[in-house]
Amino acid sequence: MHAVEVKALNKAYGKNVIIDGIGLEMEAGGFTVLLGPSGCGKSTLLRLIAGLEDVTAGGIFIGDKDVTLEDPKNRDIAMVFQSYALFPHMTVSENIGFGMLINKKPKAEIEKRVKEVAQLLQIEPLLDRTPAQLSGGQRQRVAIGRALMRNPKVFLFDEPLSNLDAKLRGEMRLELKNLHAKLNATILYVTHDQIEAMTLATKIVLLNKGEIQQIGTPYEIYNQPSNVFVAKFVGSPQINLLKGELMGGEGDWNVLVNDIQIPIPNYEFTKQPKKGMQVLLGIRPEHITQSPLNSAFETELTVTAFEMTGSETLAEFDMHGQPVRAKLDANIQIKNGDNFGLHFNLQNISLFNAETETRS
Amino acid sequence: MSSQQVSSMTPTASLASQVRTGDEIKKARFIGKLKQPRWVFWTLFKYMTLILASVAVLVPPFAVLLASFKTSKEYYTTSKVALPENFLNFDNYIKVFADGNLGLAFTNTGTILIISLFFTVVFGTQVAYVLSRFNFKGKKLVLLAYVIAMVVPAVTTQVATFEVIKALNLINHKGSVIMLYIGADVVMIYIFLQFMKGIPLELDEAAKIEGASYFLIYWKIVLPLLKPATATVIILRTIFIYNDFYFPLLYLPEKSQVTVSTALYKFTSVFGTEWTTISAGIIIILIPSIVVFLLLQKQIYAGVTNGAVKG
Amino acid sequence: MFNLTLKQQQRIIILAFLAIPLGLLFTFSYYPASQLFYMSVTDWDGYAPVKNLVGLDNYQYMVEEPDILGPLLNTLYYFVGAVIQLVLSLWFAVLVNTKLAGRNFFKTLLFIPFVLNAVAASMVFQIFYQVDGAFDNFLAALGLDAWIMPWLMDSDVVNWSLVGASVWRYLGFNLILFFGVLQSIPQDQYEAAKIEGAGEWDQFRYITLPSIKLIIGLQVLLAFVGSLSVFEIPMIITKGANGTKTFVMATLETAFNFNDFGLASAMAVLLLLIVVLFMILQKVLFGDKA
Repeated sequence: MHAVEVKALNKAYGKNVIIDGIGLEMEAGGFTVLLGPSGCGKSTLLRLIAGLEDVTAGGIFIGDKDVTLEDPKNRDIAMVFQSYALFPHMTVSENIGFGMLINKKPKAEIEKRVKEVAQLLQIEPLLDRTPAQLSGGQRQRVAIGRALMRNPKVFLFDEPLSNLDAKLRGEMRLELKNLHAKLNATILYVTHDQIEAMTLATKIVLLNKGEIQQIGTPYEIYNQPSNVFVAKFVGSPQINLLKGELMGGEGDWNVLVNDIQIPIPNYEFTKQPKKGMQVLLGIRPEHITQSPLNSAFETELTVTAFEMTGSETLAEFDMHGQPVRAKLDANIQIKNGDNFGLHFNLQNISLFNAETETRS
Repeated sequence: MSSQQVSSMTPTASLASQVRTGDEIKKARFIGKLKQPRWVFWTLFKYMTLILASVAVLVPPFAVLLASFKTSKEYYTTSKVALPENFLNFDNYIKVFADGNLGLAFTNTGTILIISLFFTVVFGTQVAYVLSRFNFKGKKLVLLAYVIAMVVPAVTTQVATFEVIKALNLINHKGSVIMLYIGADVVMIYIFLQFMKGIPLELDEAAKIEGASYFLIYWKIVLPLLKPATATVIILRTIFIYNDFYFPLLYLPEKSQVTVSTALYKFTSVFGTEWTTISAGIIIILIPSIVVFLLLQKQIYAGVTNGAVKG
Repeated sequence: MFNLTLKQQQRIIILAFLAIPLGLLFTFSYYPASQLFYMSVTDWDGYAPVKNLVGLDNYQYMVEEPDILGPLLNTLYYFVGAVIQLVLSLWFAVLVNTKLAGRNFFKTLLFIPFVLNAVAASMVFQIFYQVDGAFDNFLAALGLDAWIMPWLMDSDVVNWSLVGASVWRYLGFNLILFFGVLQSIPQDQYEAAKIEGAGEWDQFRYITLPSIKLIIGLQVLLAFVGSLSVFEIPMIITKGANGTKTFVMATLETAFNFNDFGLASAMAVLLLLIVVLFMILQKVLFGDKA
């Protein structure tokens, strides 16, 4: 049984298609992150699952029940909104207890449950305050508290950390992770922040233009991107995509980038390779360094630009006409125009068909 | 919404069969709602109230519109809500324009409107500029004077204002109502003051460093940036002045000084019970309002909301 | 500017920009208001060169004279009308704030009467309410002959007829004010409530109503002041006949027709005091946030 299952889901406003035939499964206890650039349809997908938007076609199943046409309240979900959506004129405890009040639960029962949840989130001292008297992080906790009250099959989070400053965001990220482990909850989480996605997710669903680009663990998304879009979207600084031609043959494949030949004998092709095919060789900057450790290929290139961040030096080289970024040790002294010997670690490279931009 | 949807929540053996096309979903959603008597009742009720209200809004002016195309005999012999025999019968319009002084009325109202608007904007922006940018002795007093003036409803003070206008020799002179439209209106100052708060002081300072005088700052920076406020004020004042009946009735009784409102008011004495002619006059006066409203709907909503809430 | 120092410039511009507006404010607001108080204790007829002090005679006369208190009581009709109008406009504002089909059309239509010329709008109803007029014919067409009444002749009905015209004209104004506030309530609060299982009534009670408390207070105040100052509608439709005279009409009549400016001033002072009192009351009840 899947906690959530989405089948052939479509959402369109008139001719404007937002979600285009998405299929998706979520395991109970999983932390699934919907990741993508703004406007990719990730929030719409979440809102469709929540029942806040009407489905155009397809089906949504939560805990094996068809909820495609259900009201939000009958879907056994809880949701945390980007803006928290706290009721400004109610105290924290009234906010948290709102659902039970609406559903005419006895007062004592509400109080008891509110206390439990407040304890879990360590917001007991705030219970009598109004949202206006809370800091961003505290509001966030209250919003989570309101969701916890429902004890739902699935928690839905819509960019919950985007209104917090960087430091607080880091803390809340950790807390969410702990909460997920403690409650063994099933979470569906929307974000445009790849760090959040990488650190929190047990499974990432990467969306673009209303279509799924790739579903996988953070490791798979990062190291085995299924197309150029995914490769470029995750990782900072961005992956190098070197234009080249596939040469050689069985057991002896290599890529000719301009006049430089890069051997890739151990690359695991997903599609039958074809000699002479135009490819993009994807290699992340941290796999091009000064260190001979794990080096599979070495070449000397000219420095065109560099930035020192303190912990490392990011440098751009001219690879005979194509720029290539590398992550060097912070202690290395370089200047523009220097020739420098670079080592390529080819363990986690990706090859894309230059025409279709898909992994080959 | 009711919670009577348990039936569709039964577990499904094969999920694949449950995936529906767009049309199936639309149909299922509609049928699902129809099965909820409360939803059906409330939806019908909501539309019914809206339709009733629309009818109530439309029928009175519509009856007047119908009457304006009827001959007098037709008006008295047929139903008042029946269509006229001839929609091209403009006799009433021709007559009312010729005998009803409407040309003069529109000219007078137009003159009053333009002069009042001009000075309202000039004085309003100037007062707002001075009050929001300078600190001087008595500033608090001036602000207080405007706050208190807002509380005093103009309708009550006219008994005494009449004496002032008379002393100034402005009875039957357009200057009377123009001065009242400009001077006794405080809400407009508030709208300008409110907008001034949104203009960063840095702009003034940057201009000052360039060597601009205060007047130049007002003229070249503040005034252009107050354009949205000016638009709001012009809209609100136009509605008010075009529709105002009270001031012209009191201060412009002479025939040569009729405004749109007073000209229309005098119709019953000019045309007696010629309701068809009067109807045509009403329609002529309503049309500019409706046209302007439909063109500037959004700004009018915003202006009315600002004017009432901030005032 | 003629090479003046900034300080000198500032002084000149303050004077230049404030002199005329403040002059107008005092001439047409403060001076008349203070004159009202003075005139209210005189017997001035509007012409005589001297105003004789008569103490509180005018006030005493006002309290004892049913011709004056009657019009004051007519305010109540309009106030009741205004309250009904508030409830209706809130209902319609909530409706046009939902996903309802045709909501913009309905909003526009209900608002239009507010921007119409007051005299024209009133005369529309003067014609509409005539005996055997459009309203009667319309009711007859619907088969509601039994409801037909002499709308402007029957003194039991006429004030309600006028209130009807007033509601017709001002409902849209309240609607737009409510609508503006409703629009500013974040949609996600409603969504959060929906997920918790709140129905439409719960959403209204727990989210909408608390958010519009202030605007309701403001609107009650506007309604009250508005009902006290009703003038155009009865002045044009009935000219005050059949017991439809309002207090403002009576005040103006006392001054300009009966030439008793002293008494009229006393009436104006009374109105002014009621309005100010109500405003203070409202500030105390609803705070200063509006």
